[in-house]
Amino acid sequence: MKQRLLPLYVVCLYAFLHLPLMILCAFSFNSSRFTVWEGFSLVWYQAMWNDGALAEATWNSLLIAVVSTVLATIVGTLGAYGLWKRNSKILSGSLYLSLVTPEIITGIALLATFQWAFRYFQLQLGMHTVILAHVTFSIAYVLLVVMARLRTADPALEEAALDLGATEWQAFRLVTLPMLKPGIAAAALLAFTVSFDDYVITSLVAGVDSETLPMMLYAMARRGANPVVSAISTVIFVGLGILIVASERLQKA
Amino acid sequence: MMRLRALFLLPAWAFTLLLFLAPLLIIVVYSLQTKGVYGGVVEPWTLENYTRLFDPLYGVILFRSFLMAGVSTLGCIVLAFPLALYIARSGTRKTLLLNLVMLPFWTSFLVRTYAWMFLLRDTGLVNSVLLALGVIAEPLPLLYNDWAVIVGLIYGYLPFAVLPLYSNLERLDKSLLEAAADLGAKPWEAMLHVVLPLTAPGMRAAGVLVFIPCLGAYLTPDLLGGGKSMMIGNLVQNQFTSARDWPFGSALSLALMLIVMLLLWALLRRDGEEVL
Amino acid sequence: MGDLQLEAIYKDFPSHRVVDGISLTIPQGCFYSLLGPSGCGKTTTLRMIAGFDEPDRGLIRLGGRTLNGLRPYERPVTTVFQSYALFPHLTAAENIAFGLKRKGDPDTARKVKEALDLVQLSAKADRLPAKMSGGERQRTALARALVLQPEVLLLDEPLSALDPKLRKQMRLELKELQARVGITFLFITHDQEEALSLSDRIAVMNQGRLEQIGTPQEIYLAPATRFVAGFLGAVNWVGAIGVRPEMTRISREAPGNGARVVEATVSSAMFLGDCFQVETKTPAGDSIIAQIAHGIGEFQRGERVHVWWHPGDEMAIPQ
Repeated sequence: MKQRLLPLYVVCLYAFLHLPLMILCAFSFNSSRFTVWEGFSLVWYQAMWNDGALAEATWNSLLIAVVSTVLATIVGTLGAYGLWKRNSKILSGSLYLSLVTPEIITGIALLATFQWAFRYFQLQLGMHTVILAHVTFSIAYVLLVVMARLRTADPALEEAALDLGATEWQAFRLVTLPMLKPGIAAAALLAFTVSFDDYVITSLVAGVDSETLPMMLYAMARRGANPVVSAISTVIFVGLGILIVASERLQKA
Repeated sequence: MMRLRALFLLPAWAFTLLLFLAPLLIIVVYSLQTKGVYGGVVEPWTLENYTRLFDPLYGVILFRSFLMAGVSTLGCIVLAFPLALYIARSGTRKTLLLNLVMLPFWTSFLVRTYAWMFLLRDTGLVNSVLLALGVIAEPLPLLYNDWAVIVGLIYGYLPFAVLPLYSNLERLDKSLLEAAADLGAKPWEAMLHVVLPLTAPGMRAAGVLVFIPCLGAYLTPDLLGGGKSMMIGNLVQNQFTSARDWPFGSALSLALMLIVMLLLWALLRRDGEEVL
Repeated sequence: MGDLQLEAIYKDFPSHRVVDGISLTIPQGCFYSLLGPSGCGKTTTLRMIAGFDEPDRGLIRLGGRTLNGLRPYERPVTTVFQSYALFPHLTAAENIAFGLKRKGDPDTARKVKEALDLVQLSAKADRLPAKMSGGERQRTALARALVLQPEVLLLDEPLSALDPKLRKQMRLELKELQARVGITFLFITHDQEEALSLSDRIAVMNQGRLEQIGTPQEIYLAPATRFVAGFLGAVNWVGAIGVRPEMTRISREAPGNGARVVEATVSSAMFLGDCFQVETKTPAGDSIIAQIAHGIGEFQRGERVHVWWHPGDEMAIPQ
C-alpha cells in the first residue's frame, strides 16, 4: 500500500508547488477580466506593453539589479577569498546574520541610517540608496555560494603557484579565480534574482525617482484583481527561467 | 599573503560595518529614546519602548505571530518529510526532483504570493469553480484571514524544510532500516524507532530555517492577510510609516532580532554548523 | 527448527545474473561458510535468505517451511551486517533490546542482560556505538542478532572491518560462541583462511554458481575445480596436475622411489621469515614454487635441482 500512497502524495505536493503559478500564467492569456475562461487573447500583454510607468519601473529594476549584482559579486567574491585564507568570525558571522535578518528589519535599519546620514549631507533617497541597500544584502548570498565552491578547492594549488614564482596576486588571478568561475556565475545569478525581486527593503529606501517593478506590482496587487499583474508575472516567470537556463548552458560550455 | 587578504576583505568589511552593523546600532540607540511630537526621535533616554512590548495590545500580535509561524513551520515539516523521504530514495532522479522543489523559489516572491491571491480571492479561481459547479451559492471568504497567510507561508518556505530533511535522510544508512526489519520491526515501527530519531537534527534545522522567516514575514501577511491578520513584521512597518513611532518600532525590531539570533544560536550549539 | 534449504535460486540484476541456480542444504546447528570473491553473489544470496531481496526463481526453505514472500521481520533469521548497522541513537543494551521490544517480549530486561554477558559486554551496556571500539561494536551486533534466538544467524563478512590482530581473536570467539548457542551460522566471507578455520562445511561460489561444497579439508586438499584450488591457496600446475607449494619439495639429489620428480632450475629464492620460497623453472617452461622449511639448505639462483612431491598430495582436476 505504501508503495502507491507515497508517489501519489508526492505528485499532489508538486502540484501544490507548481499549479498556482501555472494557473496564473494560463489566465494571463484569458480575454476576460474575470477568472472564467472566455478565450485566448493577448489583450493584457498589450495593456502591459503600452503602460509607460511600467516600462520605467522595469528599467529601474533592471538597472538596480545589474549594478548591484556587479558590485555585490566583486565584493562578495573578494570577501569569500579573504575569509577562505583565514576566517574572521566577526565578519562571516555578521554576513550570515544578515542573511537571516527579517527583511523588514534590514529595511527600517537602512532607512533610519540613511535619514540620519542625510542630516549631514544634502542628499535624498533614490536610486543610489536602493543600490547600496541591494549590494549590502546581496553580498552574503554571493559569499555563501563562492565559499561553498572554495571549500572544495585545494589550497596546495596556490602554494604550488607561489612555489613556481607567482606573486600572491598572480596566484589568485591565474589559479584560484579561474577555478571559481562557475561558482561566481551562480552567485551573480542568485544576486540578480534576489535584487530584481526585492520589494520590502526597496520600498523603504526608495525615493520618488526610483519606483521598481516589484513596487508597482505590489501596488497593483493590493488594488485588487488585475489581469495585467498576471501578464507581468508570466513575463517575469519566463524571463527568469530563460536567464537560469542560459546561465546553466554557459556554465557547461 | 596577509596584505592581499586584508585588501580583499576591505570592501566586505566596509559594507558590513556601515550598512549592516551601524544601522543595527542606530536602531539600538533609537529604541532607547522617545518619539518626538512630529515623528522624529528625541531625548530623554528611556526603557519604556521595551516595557510596551508587554502591553496586551501588542502582545496579541506577538502571540499571533508566534502561533502562525509555529503552525506554518509544523505544516512545512509534516508536508516536507514524506517528500524528502521519497526524493532521498529515488536514485538517479534525485537532482531533477530537488530542482523541481527549488524551481518556484527562483520566481519572484511577490509573484508567488499574488498567485495565491488570484486563487483565493472572492472572485478567484477556487470560488469561481466552486460557484460554477454549484457546490456553493456565495463565494467563500478564503482570502484575508489567518489561514490564507499560513498557506502562503507554507508555500513560500516549504523548500527550506525539504532541503535539510533531504540531506539528513540521504545520509541515513540504508542498512539501518534493513537491520530494523531483520530484527522484527514492521515498516511503521522502523520509521518511528529508527528513522524519526535519526532525522531529529534535520527536523530541528528545518524548523529553525522555516520559523525564522515566518516569524519575520511581512509581505505574506500584508497581501494575504489584508491587514486583518497582522504579524510582527507588519507592526514594525507600521511604526516606521503611519504611526511614526520609530523608537517603539526599533524596540520591536530588536526583540524580533533577538529571537532570531537565539533560535539560530541554539541550533548551531546543539547540532553544529553541518546541519545547515 | 530444521535445515535451511536453497532450491535452484536465481537472481538477476539489470546488468547481469548475480545468482545463477544455487541449490544447497545447510544442516541445523552447522557452522556453514559461503566463500567466494567479491561480486560472486554470496551477499545477494544472504540478502535473499534474510528477506531484503526476493529471488527471481527458486525456493528458500527452513525446516520444511517456505520463506519466499515473507518480509524480513517475519523471518526467523537474523543478520550481523558487514557495517554492523548498529542504531547510532541507541546504547548497546537498547540496540540489543530493539528486536525483543518489537515482539513485546515480557522478559526483555533479563534476556538483554544475558546477551550482554554472552558477549562479555556487561560493562559497556550504556555506551553508544560511536563510543565503542570495533570489537565492541561487533559483539553488540552479534548479541543483538542472537538475543532473538533465530533459527539461522546470517553473518555478512562480520570480521572485515576489524584490524588483523583483532580479527584473529574474534574468529576464535565466534567459533566458541557458535558451539555454545548451537544455532546454525551462515557465514559469508571472501577470506579463505577465515572460512577454513571456522567452518564445519564450506560452499565455494564463483560468478553466481556453486563450485564445490565440502568440509574445509576436502575443499583445500581435493578441490573440484581449478577455481577452487586457486582461490583457497597457491597452486603449481604441471599439466592437469596441481600441487600446493608447501607440499612441494626440493633437493639436489634425486629423491627415493615413489615420488613424482621434475628437474628444474632455480630462478629465485626468497626468505619469508617462517620459510624459504624457492621458484624454479622446468625445461617445459612451467614455473614451480616450493615453500621449504629452515634447515633444508639454501639454494642458489641458476642451480639445477630436483623438484618433487608425494603422489598423495596431488590434486588432479579435469580441465
